Amino acid sequence: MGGEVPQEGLLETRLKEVAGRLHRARGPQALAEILAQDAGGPLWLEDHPWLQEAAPELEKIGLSPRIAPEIWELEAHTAVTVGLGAVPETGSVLVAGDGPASWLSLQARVHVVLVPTQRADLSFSQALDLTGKHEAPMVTWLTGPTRTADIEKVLILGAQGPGELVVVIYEPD
Amino acid sequence: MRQPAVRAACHRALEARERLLKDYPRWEDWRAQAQAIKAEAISQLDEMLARLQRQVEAWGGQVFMARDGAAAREYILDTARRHQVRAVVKSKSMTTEELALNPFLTDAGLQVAETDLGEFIVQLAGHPPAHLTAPAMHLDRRRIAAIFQERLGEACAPEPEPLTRLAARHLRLLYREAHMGITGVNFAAAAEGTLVLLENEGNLRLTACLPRVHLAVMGLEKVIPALAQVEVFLRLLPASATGQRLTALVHFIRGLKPHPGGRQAFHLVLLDNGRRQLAQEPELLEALYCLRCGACLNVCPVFQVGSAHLYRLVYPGAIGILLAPYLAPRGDVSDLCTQCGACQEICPVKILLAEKIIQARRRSARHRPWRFFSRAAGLGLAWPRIYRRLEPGLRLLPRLPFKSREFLGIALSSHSFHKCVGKKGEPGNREKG
Repeated sequence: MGGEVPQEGLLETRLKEVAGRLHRARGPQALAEILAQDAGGPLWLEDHPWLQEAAPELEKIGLSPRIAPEIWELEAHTAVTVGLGAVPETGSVLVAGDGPASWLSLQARVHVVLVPTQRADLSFSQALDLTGKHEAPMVTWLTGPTRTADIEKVLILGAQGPGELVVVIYEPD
Repeated sequence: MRQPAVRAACHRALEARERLLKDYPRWEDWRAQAQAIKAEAISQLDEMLARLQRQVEAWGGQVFMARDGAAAREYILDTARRHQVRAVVKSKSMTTEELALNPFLTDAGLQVAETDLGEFIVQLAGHPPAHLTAPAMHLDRRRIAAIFQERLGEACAPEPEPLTRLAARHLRLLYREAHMGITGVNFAAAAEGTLVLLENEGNLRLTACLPRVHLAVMGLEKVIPALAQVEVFLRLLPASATGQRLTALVHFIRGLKPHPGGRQAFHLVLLDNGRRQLAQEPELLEALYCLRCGACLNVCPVFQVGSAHLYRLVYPGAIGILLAPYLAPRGDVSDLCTQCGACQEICPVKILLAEKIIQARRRSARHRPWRFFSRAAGLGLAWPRIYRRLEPGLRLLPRLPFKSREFLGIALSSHSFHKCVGKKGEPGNREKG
């Protein structure tokens, strides 16, 4: 699915331009260590096999993650979801949800999106193709945290949604 | 009206756009592609809309074709009543401004709250938006703090960050109470029935996801043939509006979104309101290609002096001049153009705005009496010998004893243009939110 030239460098550059951050992790233990860096309050995980594996690792380092199979939660400090892919050209990640997990990141302060390694270098048209074929009722491309410049054109991050966007290119063990 | 604030905001947006375009060697190709796609869509409007309707209905949405603003308003109110809606949240949508939807729903007993920060501010202030993409650009931080104090009853430091946080805190409560969320639509792909919506704040996502009913209002001209063709628009629109490669959030909706207890209801209102009539005008239909990026406003010397309030219509600037005779509430503001041509150079879909404005002036009843004089002046300027002979007489014109400041149906101002717009450009009062 990815382009011929690995573009993680470009993805990192573009993410920095829009006040986003990029990490790479292999396996649940490495993922848990990254997630612990941003945990400043309630930590909610999407109900996904990768995150189910990471939950015990998070507990080992003293955190109490919650998995959201049924609860429509809006009060997460950090929301961790699994994305569809990333577009290095714009520094965007694609997310989709069709259940309680779709609400997790709406008002979280930090949104962490895991991106499978093999889909971390989508071209713009590949991303559109993937979006069009996905079955979720709503797919969203995130390019940095939410923002506004409505008052005197001064940029404020975290306008009415996450103020931090962390992308983790993830490879399971 | 703070003219320097408007001008500064316009210039900052233009600078951001210029910086980004240095990275875009294919910009002109994209402009041409976008224009071709829009031309194709408008030439097959009925077919495209029928296809879009089928596709949206296939995934569970309900579609209403509104011939005019009254039909759209009635449908929206009827939908609200059927779903027992009492409170509505709304993301920024110029199409709903055409409908004057907020006062209509408020008069019908509904509580309506704008959720985009700029729109939230101007709703509290009772002003119409000052710009297509920056509604509160005419207000500075101190004025906004005073508005919040007066309307929300909370004192706040006159700084952008605390003011933003205060507004967000108020809006959080409103999202939870709202039963219906109303949004616009930026593009609608007919082949897939996918609606594409762009935003930066996250308010659109909350508006579209949290209430149990989502209703989207779009002008007919937002339809494009297929989703693959949105690529070029996603490059052009954010770059032209704010100098961004992409807005912070781009949503693609093609299904009923999840909601506690089941699925949301979804309604799509396709608004004509004069668009089909404009589509029948070969010389002017290009105005329907507009993406509402606002770049033609930022670059316009008339807009920079008076903001959208100068025009007193829903759509300001060069594009507003072209839409005004067709999209209700109709008007004629074709005199608010200096013919500098900057708008058509910057337009991401290559609308020949300045040239089309000349066409609009030719059709304007207001300009009819002046045509003789403008042609005579043109002749005079073209032939210096004639001009020199007329000059002594022309110098006497201001001394002529006009009894009224009206001449040939046009009001003559006793002030200069800049002084005049300083008065005319004060935002008119709107409903208090």
